[in-house]
Amino acid sequence: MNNFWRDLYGSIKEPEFWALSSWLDIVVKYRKSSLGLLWVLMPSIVYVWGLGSFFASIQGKTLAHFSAHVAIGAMVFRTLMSSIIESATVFNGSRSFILDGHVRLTDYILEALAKSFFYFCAFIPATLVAVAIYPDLQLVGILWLPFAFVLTYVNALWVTVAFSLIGARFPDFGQLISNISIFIFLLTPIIWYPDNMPADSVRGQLMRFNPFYHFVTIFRAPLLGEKIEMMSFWYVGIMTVCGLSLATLLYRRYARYVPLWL
Amino acid sequence: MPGTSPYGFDLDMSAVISADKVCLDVPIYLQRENNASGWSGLLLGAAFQVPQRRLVRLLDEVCFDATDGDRVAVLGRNGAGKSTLLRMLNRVYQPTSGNLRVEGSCQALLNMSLGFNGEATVRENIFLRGVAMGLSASFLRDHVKPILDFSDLHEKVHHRLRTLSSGQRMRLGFAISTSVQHDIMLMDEWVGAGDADFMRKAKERMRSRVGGSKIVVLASHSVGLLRDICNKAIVLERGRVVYAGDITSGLKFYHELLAALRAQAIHVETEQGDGGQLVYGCLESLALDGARLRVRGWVSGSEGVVPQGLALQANGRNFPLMDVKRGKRQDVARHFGLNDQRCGFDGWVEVPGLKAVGDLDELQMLGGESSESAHTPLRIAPAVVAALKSASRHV
Repeated sequence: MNNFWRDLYGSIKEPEFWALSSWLDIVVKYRKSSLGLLWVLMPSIVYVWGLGSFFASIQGKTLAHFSAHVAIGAMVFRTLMSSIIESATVFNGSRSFILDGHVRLTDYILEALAKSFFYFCAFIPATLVAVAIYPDLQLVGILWLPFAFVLTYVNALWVTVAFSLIGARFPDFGQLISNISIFIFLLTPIIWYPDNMPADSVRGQLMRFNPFYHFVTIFRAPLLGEKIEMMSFWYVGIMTVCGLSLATLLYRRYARYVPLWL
Repeated sequence: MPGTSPYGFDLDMSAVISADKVCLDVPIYLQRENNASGWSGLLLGAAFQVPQRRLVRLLDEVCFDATDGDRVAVLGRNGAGKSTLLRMLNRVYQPTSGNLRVEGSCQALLNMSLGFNGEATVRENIFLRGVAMGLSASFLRDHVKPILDFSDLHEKVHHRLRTLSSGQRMRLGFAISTSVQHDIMLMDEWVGAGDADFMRKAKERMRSRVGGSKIVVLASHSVGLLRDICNKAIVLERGRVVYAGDITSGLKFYHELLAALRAQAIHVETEQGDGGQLVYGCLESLALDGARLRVRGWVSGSEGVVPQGLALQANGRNFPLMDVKRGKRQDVARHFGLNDQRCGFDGWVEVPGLKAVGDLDELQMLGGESSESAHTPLRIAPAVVAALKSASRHV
């Protein structure tokens, strides 16, 4: 019987394998380029200052206001999205290790999460600058940040479990996800404000249907003093509980099939 | 602390493998049979037909036990479930039903050149593979050097792994996988090919690892190897254990099974895909009689069929065996459990200008389908080796 929580506890207690293999994966990716790890900072700079200043001028906002909005939005979005994209291929990518007898699957799940955490960290410098020049930062939001972060990662955890299992069964799933990721990015209020999407309009409904909206909002709105609906907290809370239960069930039911699917 | 492994648990615990009615069902996905005539039907069918899901039973009520000191040979045709069984013992596949108990640390030597990160350096990969095996980082730090020594890759240590040749990769994989002693060793065939120097080291290490293991499970088509190492055998056929017991009867059962299948005109396919079988045998006597050499010994093949081709290689040339008489060898047949007892050979070789046995340089006895295609060297009996040595000393 595959017990998700027991395996997870085991993986956290013995982090050597997943920590090393995720770190190697990241390091070798940037070893090929002459800029090295500096490349990691590029996406955040492009998003926050490139995309940010362009869309700020379109919407008539000042860059000081808009860049923090984009930075935090993109940071949360990318963290969750890269967890999903990484997880969809993580079992296939570790095929030889799994078939060689290293079968505690939570190790690979934490490997995917560790990589997404790395991308999260890569966003921090650009975000810090953007937040520093933001005119009315909320103190209560800063205190709230650790909770928002934990909530985000607890959800990333169950999402990774679910999507890694689906990705092992359907190898083309990873491609599908990366194809629609840009669409979801545009649907999430990162380079625009959710204010002009009232809840009773079709577009507003669509936006609220998108889970990323709620995760981005609970992270960003308290900090920047933006409007936040009570519904977002409910949404994220229910998602967390249901998602973790779903992950436990899926893991128990399907983890044993993973070596056979590969 | 003596008696503890790098895993932190006690090595003195005895190892056990116990399988009780173990079944493994696997979902596979089949394309429907395509009845379409013409190109368009074929192409559209291939594009749009959804594969069907079907359960296939790969292992069917497998029962066997192994305890300390057991060396179990797994015999069977291709696709009989040998590798599946090894993976199951390695806890990769979980049984669908039945009870499987594996106690003791387990090391599988199934595919040693896989499981690397091609862009990372050799040193980093040693750590990666090592921690994947469950070794601690501090233990590995002390073992990087021995591993590099063994695989002879010191000058490559900071190179990216993908720049290594496949032989070097195999050497590295072997060195890492066998760097610690485990209670249970699971092997699918013996070590692959390599240069002579490495093969000598690898054989030595394998002997010592096999010797140090409490249980060895070895799947191989090499009858001679299995006979050397194992004391027990199980024979698999279509996922069922059709025999479990001692090695001699096991080999006999296996050869009878193959003979029975051949009699039903079922194509018996073992490891060598090119229609050949693994040839093994022994050159037992060599004597110069006038201008001709009399050569005697026995030869057989992994499928239990006696190969017809024999040739002697010496001084860089191949000489076919002539006037070969086949004889019954009950001793050999009993030892290897052969179905066909007529595996002895007694023939003549003409080596022009040969004055003494000591003139034969780099002597090898070769076996194969025909004397032209014979290329598998047979063992040379110690008596023959000694005779050759003393003869060449006299010259």
